[in-house]
This record gives sequence, structure tokens and C-alpha cells, in this order.
Amino acid sequence: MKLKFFTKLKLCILPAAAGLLLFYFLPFLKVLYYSVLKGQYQKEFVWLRNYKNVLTNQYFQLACFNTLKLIAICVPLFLLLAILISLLSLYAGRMGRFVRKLSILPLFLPSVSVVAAFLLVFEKVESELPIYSIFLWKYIGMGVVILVAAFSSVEPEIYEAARMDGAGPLTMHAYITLPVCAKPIQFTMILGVVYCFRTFRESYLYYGANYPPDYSYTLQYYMNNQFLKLNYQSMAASSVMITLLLAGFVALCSGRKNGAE
Amino acid sequence: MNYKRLVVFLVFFLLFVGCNKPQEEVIEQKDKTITELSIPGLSSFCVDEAGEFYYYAANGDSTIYKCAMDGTPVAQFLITADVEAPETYGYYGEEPPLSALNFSALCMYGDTLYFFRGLKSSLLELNVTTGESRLVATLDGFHTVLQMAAGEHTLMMPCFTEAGKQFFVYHLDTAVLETVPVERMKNMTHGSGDLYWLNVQDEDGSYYFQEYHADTGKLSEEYASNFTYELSDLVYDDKTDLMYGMLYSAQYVCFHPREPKKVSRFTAQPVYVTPANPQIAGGRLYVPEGDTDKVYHFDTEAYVTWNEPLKGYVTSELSTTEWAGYNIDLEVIDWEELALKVLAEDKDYDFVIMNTDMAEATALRDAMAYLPIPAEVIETYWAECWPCVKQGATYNGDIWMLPLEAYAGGLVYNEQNLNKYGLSIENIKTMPDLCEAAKVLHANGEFGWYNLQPMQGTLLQNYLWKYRNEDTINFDTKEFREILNFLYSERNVNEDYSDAFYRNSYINFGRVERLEEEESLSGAEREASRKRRGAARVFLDETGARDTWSFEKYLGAEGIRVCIVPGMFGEEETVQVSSQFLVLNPNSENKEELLNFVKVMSELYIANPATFLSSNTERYAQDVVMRDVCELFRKGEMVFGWPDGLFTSYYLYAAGQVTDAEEVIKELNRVVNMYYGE
Repeated sequence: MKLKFFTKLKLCILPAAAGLLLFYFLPFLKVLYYSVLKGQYQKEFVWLRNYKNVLTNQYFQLACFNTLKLIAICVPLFLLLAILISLLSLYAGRMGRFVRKLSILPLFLPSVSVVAAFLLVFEKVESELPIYSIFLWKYIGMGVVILVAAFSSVEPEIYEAARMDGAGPLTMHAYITLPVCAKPIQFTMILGVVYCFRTFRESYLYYGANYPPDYSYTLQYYMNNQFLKLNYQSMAASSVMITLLLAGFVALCSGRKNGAE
Repeated sequence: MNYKRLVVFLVFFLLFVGCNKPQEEVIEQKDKTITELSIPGLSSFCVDEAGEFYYYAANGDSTIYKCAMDGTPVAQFLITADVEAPETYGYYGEEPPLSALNFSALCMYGDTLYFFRGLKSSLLELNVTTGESRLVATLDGFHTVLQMAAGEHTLMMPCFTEAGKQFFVYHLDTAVLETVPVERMKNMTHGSGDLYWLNVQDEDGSYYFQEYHADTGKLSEEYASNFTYELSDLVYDDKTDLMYGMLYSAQYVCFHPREPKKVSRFTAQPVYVTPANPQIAGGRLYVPEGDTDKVYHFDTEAYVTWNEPLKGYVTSELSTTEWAGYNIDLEVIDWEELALKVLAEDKDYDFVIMNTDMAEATALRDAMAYLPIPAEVIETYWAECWPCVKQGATYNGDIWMLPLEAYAGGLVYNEQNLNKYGLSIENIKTMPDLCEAAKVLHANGEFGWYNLQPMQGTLLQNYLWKYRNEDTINFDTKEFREILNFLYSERNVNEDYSDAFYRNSYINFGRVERLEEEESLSGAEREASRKRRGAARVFLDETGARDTWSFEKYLGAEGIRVCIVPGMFGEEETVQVSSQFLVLNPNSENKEELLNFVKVMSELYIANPATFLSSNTERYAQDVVMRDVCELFRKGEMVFGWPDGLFTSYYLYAAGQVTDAEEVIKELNRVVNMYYGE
């Protein structure tokens, strides 16, 4: 039997799909299962009681607020800076290449040494500024790498035609680069949101405790503390909610893009 | 609606639900079947192969007695076969010792009973059917045959000779005596025919088992075991191919000798006090108890359960070294890793050991991540536990942990020295009182130093403990401000005192002899001096190591008393008892064996009051210090810890690194609220 080309392509996806099912979907189902139980060793079905408890918990609310604040402030900054550095580095020739390489370096540094350096710089600062700075400093390089690759892939003929029509650099990037590279930019933004959740390690090291100042108490702290207390039900319920929230966010972004197209 | 997708989803969902079985019921212990028999003057005994009769020799006569298993006498045989033989045993005085005069090392093969008399080095036999006896041989140079096992044509015996302990084989047909050609042989038992099982120590210290065909001299391959102790009282039952033996602390083991790594353990209440050898025949174990001349027997099947070695985790370094003869695979694990194991409902471990004063203990308890211990399994131990320990170990009606070793923070003081300067412990009810007393002693040239560090911990713990059952703990109170004020004043005003020579957390009300003075003493004087010196120390909140909290070193010391640690105010004195405890994994696959292990461990601990202080004061020497220590435990409450880092601001304040008390109060309220509220 001769398979159609697209059928063959679909079959190629099978190993990845199986991996996704085994390592993501099935564990998530288990987390879902835990989230509706009374306890790990008291397997009593409690419907959505754990969700209610988590949602009404003032520290979960505080953690949500701080996490959203982190995303709302840092992700646009991350995106903006990444776009700016990418564009400037493209214009700067050899210096630009050097800047790009330099910006990716923090990703390879151990968190402990990064935090130690920031502790010296922000010794007296009692706000969320140090954590926001660590986030931007550490992850911006990844954004730059992705965006430079995307910007470089725009056909030069398009810019040439625009230039002949009298468009300046700003106009060209506003009306050509950004719309053409909307998908990579969108991906970078999603990546930025994901990185916001990954700053927990740096934050934990910076404050050196499970109970940081209120302004830095994020969802990861909440979930990590629930984990250490063996309160898996609250942890599972909050995980499910965050996963759904993120999935919704990604779906929303994709939907909008598709609509725009 | 796509029904196919729904079915697939439901299948996966049900699979997951099925993966999580509810907590299994505890398997009941079988009843003991113990019969007590009394034998006056028992010197040696054995049981026939069928387990129908036992034969024994008694002190002071040359008779072998035959009894039914219920103790009914059946027959007796006067042995005269070696009457004419000359005495070979040299002794002082007119009468030979009983050990040489009596028959010893009784053993049987078929209808023939073999035994030995040290006085004449005579190896004798008795046909229990015909009643005929004869002198088999005179074993020159043999005075003590420790044990004997009989085969079809051979006898094997470990003996003390001039060369020390050696194993010999005596060939009945040829009357040839030869040594067993195995080095580091520790024990043996008869297998079948002329085959004997040997227990041998390897060069690396471990033990293996080996078959020895005494008639041909052939040795089998070595069967390696996990034992690190030699087995005594070895008995082999050829019908079931099972070997029984005793490790140490009366821990009996049962295993197939060709598979000695797979072992079951069993014990019985009357057995662990027996100094003599048990014998097994027909599935029964017979144990003579030397002091009271009794024989116990019980059905081993009631105790034997097969198992693999138990796997345990500890969350910190332990002082516990006793494992009741069990082969325990123990590993240190950090809490995060253990939490993952609990989350994954891991079955790869059987128990966890930690301390009650660790925050994690509460987490483990609250999550009900334990297998309840049936009260009947640790019945004797439980009855002896201090009430506070029992209370701490009980949760939701379950016994959720086995307390292993308990510690109580106490203050040891020299009553005489206090009185000498007009001080009395009756008037030292608060922490400031304590400091003032120390200052008086210091002013009089005595060691009245104190260290702020342990005090600050005690004061905080007392405060936390007092309000532990509230929804949260409020630090914005007059009471807590008093504590901070006290720390502030002592830190700033009395720096001289905090720089004392002895920094290891104690207040010293006594005069301490200097080391050089002690060096000039010798022998008993030095020991007495050391005892006084140790006793004169006044420890504060000594909760940790067993080597320092050894109440034995205070026993008999004059004037030494123990009291609870004062709080900030007189009425707030508390004694916090912490314990090292064992929690059983509810997902363990060795539940039955695990409970047996708990039973054996509890028996081990109840037999050793030095490591576990029980409420039974009759166990202790009648000493002032001991009574005081018991009082500490009586008044104490079980303490469960709070997470590290929660009280950093308090300790920074006490250390002078933070100076604003209001800031400390605000921060403590914030983090503690967060801990309780999240």
C-alpha cells in the first residue's frame, strides 16, 4: 500500500507524540487526579475543594499577583530590549556579532555566581528590582539569538523596494521587519513568560530562604513550599491552574496571529 | 461527540486510579505457642529427630533422662561405661568442678545418643531403645567439648585444646580423630548422613556457609551471606532444608543455607534472656534458661516470614547503631528527595528515620505518609513510654512512629555550690534569675559564666511552643518584647560573661577542676575527679548527642541536681522532649516483616533504658540525678520543629547584627504568618 506524502509526514510525528503523551500528558493526568483528592494517603474524592482552597488562599493570591507583575513588567522589557539589541547588532557589523555572543554568555553561568554578583550590586536594595534585573540580564541573550536569526531571514529585496519608495529605517522595521517576523517575536514572548517562571532558582538563592520578602513571593515559592510540606493537593491544584492559564495564553497568542494572517 | 476519544481517555483515567491502591490493612501477628517445662539442674540436653522426646543430663549424677515434650518422665539411663576410666582433668581441691563431672554436648543420630564427660575425656554413646551404653573413645587432651553433632559414621565437635578452639571430626568406624581443614571456621551443625554445614568467616570479615562431607573430606562451594556476625546455636532441619541460628541480642534467623542472603528473623519473649543453646527438631525450638533451669519451646512457624533486607532512609546523621540484628540497607537522603519519593508513592524503601524537632516530621505526619503501627506489635514498649512521647507519637488515633531515643533539655546544677553563696534553685524561676545567679558565682571567683546563644534558642522555642496551637503566632506582644529586651540587655551589658572559656552551651554553677590538676592524679582518683568535673558542669538545653547527655556520668555525684530550663517568666518553664523516630512507608512491600522489625526494635530498646528513658522508674538506679531526669521527662512535652530560616531575624538580633526590635517583630510576624497561611 502506498501512503500519501502527508500521511507519511504525520507518521513521522508519532514518536514525538508518544513522548509527549508519556512524559507530559500522562503525568499531567496524574497531577489532575491528585488535585481532586483529599490527600496523598487519603484518597477521598473532594471535587474542586482543593481549587477553592488554593484560590481563596491569600498567599496564593499574593504569589499570583507577584508573578503576573513580573510577567507584565519583565516580558515587554525583555522583548523590547531583545528587538533593539538584535536590530542594532545587525547594523553594527563585527561589533554586533561580538555583542550577540556576549549577550548569550549569562545563560551559561551558574546561578550561584550570578546571584553572588548581584548581591554585591544590590546589597541595600529592598525591592523586586534585583530579581527583575537578573531575569533580564540572564535571559535577554536567548531572545537576541532568536530574533537575529529571524530578522536575518527577511528577504533583502523587500527592504530594497521599500528604500526605493523612500522609507527610512524606522519605517522599514515598523512595517516590514516586525510584521514579517511576528511569529518569532511571538515565540520569544512566550519564551519570556516561561523564563519568568524559571527565575525561581535565582530568587531562592538571592533571598536564601523559602520565605522571601512579600514582593518577591511568586508562584514557585508557593508551590515549592507546598511540596516541602508534602501538601501535594494544593501543589497539584495550583499547577493545574497555572498550566491551564499558560495554555490559554499561548492559544490566545496563536489565535490572534492566525486571525491577523 | 467523539466516543473513541472518550473511551481512550476513560481507559487512561481508570489506569491511573487503579495505580493507587488504598492503604493496606496491617497483617496480624500469629499467636505465640509457648510451653514451659522445668528441669532442675539442667546441664545439657537434646531432642530426638521426630521431636517427640527430649534427653537431658543434670548436675551431679551420671544419668541420662528421657522425657516427653510435655515434661512427663519416660525413662532414665544410668551411665557406667566410663567408671573404670582414669580421670584426665586436673583440678584444685577435693571435688572436680561440675562442668567436668557432668555429661555435656548431648547429641543424637537415630537411636544413638552421644555425649562427653570432661573429667575423663570420655566420649560415650547410649542406645536409647535398648538402654545399652558404651565408652566410644577417650579423647586425650580434650577437656571441654563445647558442642557436638552426630552423623551416620562421624561426630563433629568444636573443642578447647591447648591450641585453642578447634573443630574436630571423629570417625566412629575407624576411631580416627582429625581436624576440619577449614580456616576461620566459627560454627557447624549436622546436615544429613555425614554431611555437616560449616559457618566460616571470610578474609574480609563477612560470613559464608559451606557443606563438609566428613566421611570423604570434600568441601562444597561457598554460599556467601550478608551476615556480619557469626551465628551461634546453628541447627539444620533437613526435612525443610532450613537452618536456624542466633545472631546477637537473641535475634534468631532462619534461612536456606544455600541461599543465606535471604533471611527471615524471629524472636520470642522468653528466648532473649536465655544464655544457653537452643535446639530445633521437628519445627520446634527448645531453649534452656540457665538461671531458672527451664526449657521453653515454641513453634517457629509462628514467627518466620520470608523477606529481603530492609531499606531505610535517614534525613540526618544518626547516633543509632542498633538494628536488632537486621540487615539494614541504610542511606542518607535529603528532604527534597524524600518528598519526591513520597509524592511518587515509591515502594523502594521500607522506613525513614528522622528527629521530631525537624520541621519535616510534622509534614510527614500531617500528610499521613506513614503506616500505622498496631499497638499490639509494640505493646510492652508502648506501655513503658513516657506519656509525652506517646502523645507525640499518636496522631488521628494512629501510632504513626516508633520513638527510638528521647532527649530532654535540662539544666544540671551543683546544689551545694549554689547554697554556699546563698542561692537556691527554688528562687531561679526565670532566665534573668539564672543570669543573676551566674553573676553572683562569677563575682565569687567561681565558674558562673553563661553563653547567650543557647538561651536565645530556648526562649524562642518556649514562646513558640506555648502558642503552637494557635492559627498563627503573634510576636507583637508584651511577652515577646520582654524576651527581646532581655537579649538586648544581656548582649550589650554583660559581654564579659558571654566570652567564657566553656562555650559549649551551658551555665556552670560548679567549680571545675582544671585539666592539669587532673593530670597529676592517677587511676581511681582521676576517674573520680573526672566524674566530679563532669558532674559539676551545668548544661543548658542539652538536647543532642548521647555522649554528652549521659546521665550515667552524673550518677552518685554529690550535690548534682537536674531541673527544667527556666523560661522568660517563672510560670513558662517547659521541658521539650525530642525523639529520634522511625516511620514506616505505607507503600512498602515488606509490611509484615517491617512490623516484625518494629517489634524487635522495640524489644531491643525496652531492654536498654540507657538509650530510651521509659516512664518505668524501677528500671533506673535510685539516684537523685536519675530521679530528676525522670522528672524532666515526666514534665516534658514532645517538640516538633519549625523550618530553618523562619527565625533568622530573631537570631540576627540576638547576635547584634540587627538592632531594631520592631523590625524583628514585624519580620517574624510576616514569615510565620506566611508559613502558617500558605
